Amino acid sequence: MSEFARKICLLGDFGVGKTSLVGRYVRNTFSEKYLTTVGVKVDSKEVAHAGGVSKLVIWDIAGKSALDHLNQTYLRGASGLMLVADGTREPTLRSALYLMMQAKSLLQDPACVVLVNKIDLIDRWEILPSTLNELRKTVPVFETSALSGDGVEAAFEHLAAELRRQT
Amino acid sequence: MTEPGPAARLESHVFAVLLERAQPLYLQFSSDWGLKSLHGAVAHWRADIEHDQLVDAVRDLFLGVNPDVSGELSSVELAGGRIAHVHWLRGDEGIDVILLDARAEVEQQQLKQQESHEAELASMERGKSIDRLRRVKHELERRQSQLEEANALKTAFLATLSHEFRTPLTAIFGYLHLLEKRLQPDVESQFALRAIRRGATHLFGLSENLLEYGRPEAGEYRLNVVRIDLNLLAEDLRIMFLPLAEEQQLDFSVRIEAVPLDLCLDEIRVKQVLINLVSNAIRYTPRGQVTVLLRWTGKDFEAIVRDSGIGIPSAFMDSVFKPFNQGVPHGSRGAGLGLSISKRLVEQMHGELQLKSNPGEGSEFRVRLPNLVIGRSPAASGSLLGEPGRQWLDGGTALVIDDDPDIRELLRLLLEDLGFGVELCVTANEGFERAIALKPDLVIVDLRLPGLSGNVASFKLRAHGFTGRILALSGASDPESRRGAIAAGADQFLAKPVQIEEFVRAVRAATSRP
Repeated sequence: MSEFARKICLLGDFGVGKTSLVGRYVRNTFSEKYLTTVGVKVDSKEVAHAGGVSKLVIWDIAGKSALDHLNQTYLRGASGLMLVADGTREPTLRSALYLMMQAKSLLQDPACVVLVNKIDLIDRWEILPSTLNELRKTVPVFETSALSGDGVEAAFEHLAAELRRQT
Repeated sequence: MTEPGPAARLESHVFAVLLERAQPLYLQFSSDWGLKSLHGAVAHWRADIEHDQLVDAVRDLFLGVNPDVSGELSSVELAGGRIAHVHWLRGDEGIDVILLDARAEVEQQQLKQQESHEAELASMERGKSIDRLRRVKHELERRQSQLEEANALKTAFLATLSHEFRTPLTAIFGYLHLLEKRLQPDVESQFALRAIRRGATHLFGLSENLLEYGRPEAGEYRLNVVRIDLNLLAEDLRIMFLPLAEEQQLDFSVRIEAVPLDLCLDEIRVKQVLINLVSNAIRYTPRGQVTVLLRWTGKDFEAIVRDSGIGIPSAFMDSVFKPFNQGVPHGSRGAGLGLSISKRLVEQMHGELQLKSNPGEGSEFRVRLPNLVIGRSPAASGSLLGEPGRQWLDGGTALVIDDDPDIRELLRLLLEDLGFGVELCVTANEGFERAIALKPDLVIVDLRLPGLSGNVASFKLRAHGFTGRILALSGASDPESRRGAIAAGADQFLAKPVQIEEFVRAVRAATSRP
């Protein structure tokens, strides 16, 4: 039984890999097939750490480039945000940052991390390293691959640790 | 008791239909989220067999929220794949939560959304593909005339074969260099080292010829022009071929005549041509002599390779320049690529290759090359072999990321010789973590690594603000690999097998301070 539980929301454009990231983190699974998310998928994972057991309730919200009313209702009670972009589609990073701005205006000081997914397709990336280097000065950024698992655990763990630190 | 009216009957019917579709499940919680009761379509929601999982999933929905008097969350997929519209009512004694089955509605919406998203993604991919196709078309048009000559299967096979030679050859040459430099060998060991060098050089020449042969005849061949030291070149030829000539009891000599100090040529290509010609001459000369003359005519550079060998009948004079000894007698003694490659290389250097021969008397190959405009500083020419590096590279740190243990160790030895403190890693992720912690002056990264490629390490380092120099190593030497490595963040790109002189130059260039 976890003493510490927090709600986090994944936001990002469609097709960036939000559901795959959750699948990789919670169940350690991955599917090549793209299946769009309607509404929201709610999952959870308990993680043991030095200070006890923490539970993350993960809301994987349907991909949009901006928050509509429905998505705003899903955000209520969230303590952390995971903004997800696809490295092979540069505009998805702009969407992720716009979503972060919108969501921050609805929540009280949420902890945020940016995930730039699909590092396994590095040769097709449109996002430049210098862009991420600049972005990293304002928000933690993780290059991830839901396919290989690279960076996924680290990104979730970072957010969880940040949430624990805030308590 | 009176019968209900028609309107009431219809309402009752609608209610029954909606209930059947919604399969409502009612959960009553106390104010502190203890479950008080659960009823409704229990079996439909598997609330009987997965009771605790379902109740926990519902509680999770309200984590961090102080629910309003009433509210709704649409299209929620709960753990276990249950899809619901979630409604709640708050009273004095707790919270009532109602789950209504939304699977059919969500699945229908998902079908539509899937189509629309896939169409949009396909359209984006199509746009990118069209761009790529345009570039490819442009490239194809540029190379069309050359590609018609190419045999794709043979090309791919030969190129792959040659690439596979490069990594082990890098290790052989590197360790050989270290042994020659560090040991004080006795006569027998010297002989053994020379034999190893001779064999490795032969393999290197063969693999370079195969690679050159496998490469389409590029219209825009990029020459690597440096100020050439003919004494070094002559010495290299002597070291390489004298033992071989002595074994066959041949007289072998290399002479230099009237060469200006600032002769500029593509040294690597010139060397490749001369290695091919001398190697052929020795192979086809059972007795007598093989001579090499390097000279300046006042207008051109000439290299003349003469032998007293078996000679070539006039009927085959043209055929010898075709690959794989097509139609040439005694063609089975070598791979049959040397002369065709040499001719191609000489033409790439804007020169000509002539042949005179008399059967039974011998042959003469004459290479004539114009002095080329220099493209690099004299200091960058290949004369650094054997120079101690500590004088100009002291105190730096270097990180090597390579999965081949031989290459890793070789690079460590070379870099330590150059005055670096060296750390070694095997994978891109390990290398990235180490580089971030160590902040080395130089990172040397192999592109083909287990798991993520070396380009990922370069990219992540640059994306984390790493400002040290990055030198990428690759078994592939094509422009695409070079472009990919530089785009990912590398400062320099070296194709294997890396010659020691070339490596030293690259490290020096990478770490030189302005």
